[in-house]
Amino acid sequence: MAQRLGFIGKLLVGVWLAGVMIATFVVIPPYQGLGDAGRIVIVHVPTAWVAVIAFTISAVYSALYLRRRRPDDDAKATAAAEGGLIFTLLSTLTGMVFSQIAWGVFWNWDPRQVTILILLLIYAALFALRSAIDDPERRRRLAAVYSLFAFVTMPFLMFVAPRMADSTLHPNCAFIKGSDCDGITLKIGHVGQLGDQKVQLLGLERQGDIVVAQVKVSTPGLASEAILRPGYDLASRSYTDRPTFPGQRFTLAIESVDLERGEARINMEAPGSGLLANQRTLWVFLASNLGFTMMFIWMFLVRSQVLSLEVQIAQRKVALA
Amino acid sequence: MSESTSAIYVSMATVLLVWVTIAIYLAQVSAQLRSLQRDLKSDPPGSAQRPEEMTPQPTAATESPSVAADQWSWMAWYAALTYGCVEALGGLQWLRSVPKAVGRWAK
Repeated sequence: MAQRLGFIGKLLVGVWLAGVMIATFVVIPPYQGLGDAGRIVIVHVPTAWVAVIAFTISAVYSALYLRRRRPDDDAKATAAAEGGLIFTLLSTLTGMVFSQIAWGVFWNWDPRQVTILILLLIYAALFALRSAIDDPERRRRLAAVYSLFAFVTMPFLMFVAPRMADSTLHPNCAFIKGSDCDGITLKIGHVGQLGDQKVQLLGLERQGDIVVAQVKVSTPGLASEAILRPGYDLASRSYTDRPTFPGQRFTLAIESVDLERGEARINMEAPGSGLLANQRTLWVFLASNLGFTMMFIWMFLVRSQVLSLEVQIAQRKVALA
Repeated sequence: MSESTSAIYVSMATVLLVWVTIAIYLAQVSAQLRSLQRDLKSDPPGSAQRPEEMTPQPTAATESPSVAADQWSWMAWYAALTYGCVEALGGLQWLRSVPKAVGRWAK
């Protein structure tokens, strides 16, 4: 009965994820500015989320091992950490491809890229530690302690550090409207930094309800510069025109204007801003998250069973010897 | 190849990379599980003990470390495959950016 249920469960996960993948290319509309490359997000973000779940499960079982000293708990902690490492790696790789399309480079040392790389190295070190210790009991104990320490860094590296950075082009800034990335407020003549771009507000010109700003943009250290003219509607309090940065897919937008003080808040937006505002995209994204979580549970159950059996066989050999 | 056609191929290749990785992992782990279950069943009946009856004993160094040698080689293959994919994407982009030659090469 349990075997049959397991088979049905696996079949359901396969069918569910096949449906998600088909929907990724058939149901979701192309994103403005990013076109078809934005579909990578449907895989990229869920893999990162599953990694968070996996590392949490690993930490829970590590703590249980330290409390109960059952080899089964260690097997589960290891299986979860292994799954977490694989999903972190997949998230990094899919992010690199997305980065190449959106930013023009595979790796640009964005704060979130750096923190996920550090997390990868921390958990890779867990497996290096495990493979370096021959005595199973000692290996389990040290790995459990290390896993707990590694878990403490995870929320900081995944959620806190990337949001503390002033200039990140990652989703918390570039994709979710109303996020804490407020852009910068400049007075006429002042210079600021948006992402890796130097911006200077040269002037604000009012034409009825529309305000057009003159913004000089350049990359620090490079001679090339351009004047962009983003627009803002005072009546609807929203942008009217978002010009694209030269040589990039990012756009420059005005988010608020104070004509009396001669200042404007300007921000850099990635193409595809408001990605999940589309209902079809949102549902496929949620389905993908659920599907990858179920896939991880499948991987976790099989792998932890393998590790438990290895322990049982080893114990049996010792008992026979 | 237009930019949007290229982007959909790159997205599909990325999704494929994710599935190939997960499929390889699951296939390898499932094969390992079947092999271990066979090993457990094929033990002589006299020596067979139910796992729950076994008292936890200090195990010697016979238990394999969690990352076995063949898994390291899988990781090396995977790294090579990923590097190849990344290089191929870079190559594709380079091909796109190079203008096509017109006429014959002068000898």
